Amino acid sequence: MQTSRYVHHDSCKFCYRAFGLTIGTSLELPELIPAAGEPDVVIQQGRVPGALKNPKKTGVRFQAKPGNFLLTVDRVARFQVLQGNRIIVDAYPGVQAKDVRVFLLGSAFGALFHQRGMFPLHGSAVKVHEQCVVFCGASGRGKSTTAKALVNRGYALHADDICPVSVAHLGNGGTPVVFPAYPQMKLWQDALDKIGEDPSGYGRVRHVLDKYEVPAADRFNTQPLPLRKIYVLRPWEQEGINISEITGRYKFTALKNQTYRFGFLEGLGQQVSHLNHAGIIGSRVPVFSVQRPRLQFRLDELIDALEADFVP
Amino acid sequence: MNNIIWLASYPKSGNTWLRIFLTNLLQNRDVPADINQLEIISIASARGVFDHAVGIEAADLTHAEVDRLRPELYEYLSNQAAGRRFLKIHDAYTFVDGLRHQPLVSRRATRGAIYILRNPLDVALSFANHAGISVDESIERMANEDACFSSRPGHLHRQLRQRLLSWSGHVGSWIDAPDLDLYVMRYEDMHRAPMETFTAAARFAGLDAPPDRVNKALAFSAFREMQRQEQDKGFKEKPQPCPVFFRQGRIGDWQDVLDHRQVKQVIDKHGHMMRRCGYVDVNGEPCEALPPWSWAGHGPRPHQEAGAPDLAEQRGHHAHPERGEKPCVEAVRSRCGVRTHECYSGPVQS
Repeated sequence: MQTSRYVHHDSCKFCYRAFGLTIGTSLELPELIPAAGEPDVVIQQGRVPGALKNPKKTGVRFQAKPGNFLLTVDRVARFQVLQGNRIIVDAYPGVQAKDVRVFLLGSAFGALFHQRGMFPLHGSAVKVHEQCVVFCGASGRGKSTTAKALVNRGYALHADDICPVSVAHLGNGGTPVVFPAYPQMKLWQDALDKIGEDPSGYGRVRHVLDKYEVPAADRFNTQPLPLRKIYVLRPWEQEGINISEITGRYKFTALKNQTYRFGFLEGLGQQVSHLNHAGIIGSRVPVFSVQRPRLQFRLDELIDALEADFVP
Repeated sequence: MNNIIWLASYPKSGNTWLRIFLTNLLQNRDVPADINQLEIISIASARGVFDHAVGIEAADLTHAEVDRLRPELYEYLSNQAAGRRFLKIHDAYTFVDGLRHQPLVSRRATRGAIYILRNPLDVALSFANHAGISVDESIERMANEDACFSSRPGHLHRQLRQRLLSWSGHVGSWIDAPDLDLYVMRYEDMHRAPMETFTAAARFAGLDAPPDRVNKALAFSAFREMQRQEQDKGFKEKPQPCPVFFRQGRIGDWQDVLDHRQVKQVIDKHGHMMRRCGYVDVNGEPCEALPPWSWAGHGPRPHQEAGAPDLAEQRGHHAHPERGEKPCVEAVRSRCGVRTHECYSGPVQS
């Protein structure tokens, strides 16, 4: 992976550290932890084309080819992600800065991680016994809710929504490492109700959604951690909680399915290396299925079951 | 490339039965298809499919923003498909706010639709059991023009928001949809004349449907078989408040459960559409679904039989869509039934 040679200039008004990267940006990102240093990634505002020439893959609102990714969010912004070290943001006139950040720190960064050859998991992570456990699952399965409930029990937050796993040392037989993201979570109103928290003290992720920005600055882990376990949250028809290990080809499939923005890989030309990494990570990290009742389950019961499973 | 054939219905009208039948017909195996592996025909409002194809999570968008992207989503899915692709849908046939004349389902992506219809008196009962609510609540929801699935604010549902309209609003939106190649089948005819009804549906969709294959698919999707599988391994599409998904599978159960007040409420609200569809007679009284449509076009025309509702009178049996005439259900059925399947699959197979 070539290191950035991008010349730092005064368009990088702000500088942060997140995902193991120093990020220089002309856009303020108040969710992230401020830092100093030569940026690995630069985010700047500028014009972004409406389409790529000869894209390898075209989705409904994205296009990709190796080293070049384009994302359009109607009436919010267009983003271009280049070579894993540059993001250009072309915001729609009058749009709220928060709206831009949702998609910048979401899909745009997802493309960036893939361009950099990282392995981003779609999940939330907390620190347990000096290591990291990640909660994955489809949207709405309770990844953030579970992580927040654990944070409330004293565990430090490591990442919410995207867990960037570094594959840099895998070749030497090393353990995969998860970089810390930033000290904030996104939680829906009824998830906060379930946890017993009042959303009225929190800002909204977007003013048009009943989803809230929940800060976690006082319970955030700032150092990279070895990846200890992956839990995949799944509903089932029975009562109670069941935790069981996923093995064999189902494990490989789970890692594939729990990859953040898996659909971007084909266009970026990263499918093969990604699947290789999935194989290696799968050989070093256990993956568990956590089955819980589809509706009406006691969150406490789930957290108790998980804590019992957190043996060092 | 228009590859999508919609399997459309108001909830609890027999859509799952049709899906299981088609899955069995398509797979053509020696054993029944697994009711928990019907992915060959997914639902139009699946969140994961949207997220993967669009590149943005629907969870970060409003319902209106999601709706504005759904027509292009279906165009994308249609272009990705090698040939015809079935998608189940409970959304009413509506037009997207802010997109000129563009239906949610996208005209460009749509090859046709099979609309499944059931007596709303039975739907009310079935829906009450499914959702764990009272029959009165169920009747109220069916009367609500603003009814939706998966739209509770502050909550992330498994699926995207689906606008249902009222029961008669839903039916009317599909059967009167402009420029839509449509086959309408009734749950009651699926029960009473399965061979004819399902064969006609399969042929409308351009599928190879010789009698032995249809028979096998019918046997593999029989209610008892679905009940057996659910008892054995559960059914992942069953919502938690509902004890059993494949509960009764009968027609006319409403007669044992709904009281006069409830029946009158349903007919007061939906009587016009019920008359069009053969669920009330000329006197506005509920009746067994008349005429038997599944063989309309083969035997004597239903509107010629004594006591049958004059569907033909409403719009004329030979409605002309190009003159802006909306066809009655029966006319639509015979226009897009067995006779026109050659549009999709070549000469008629006998």
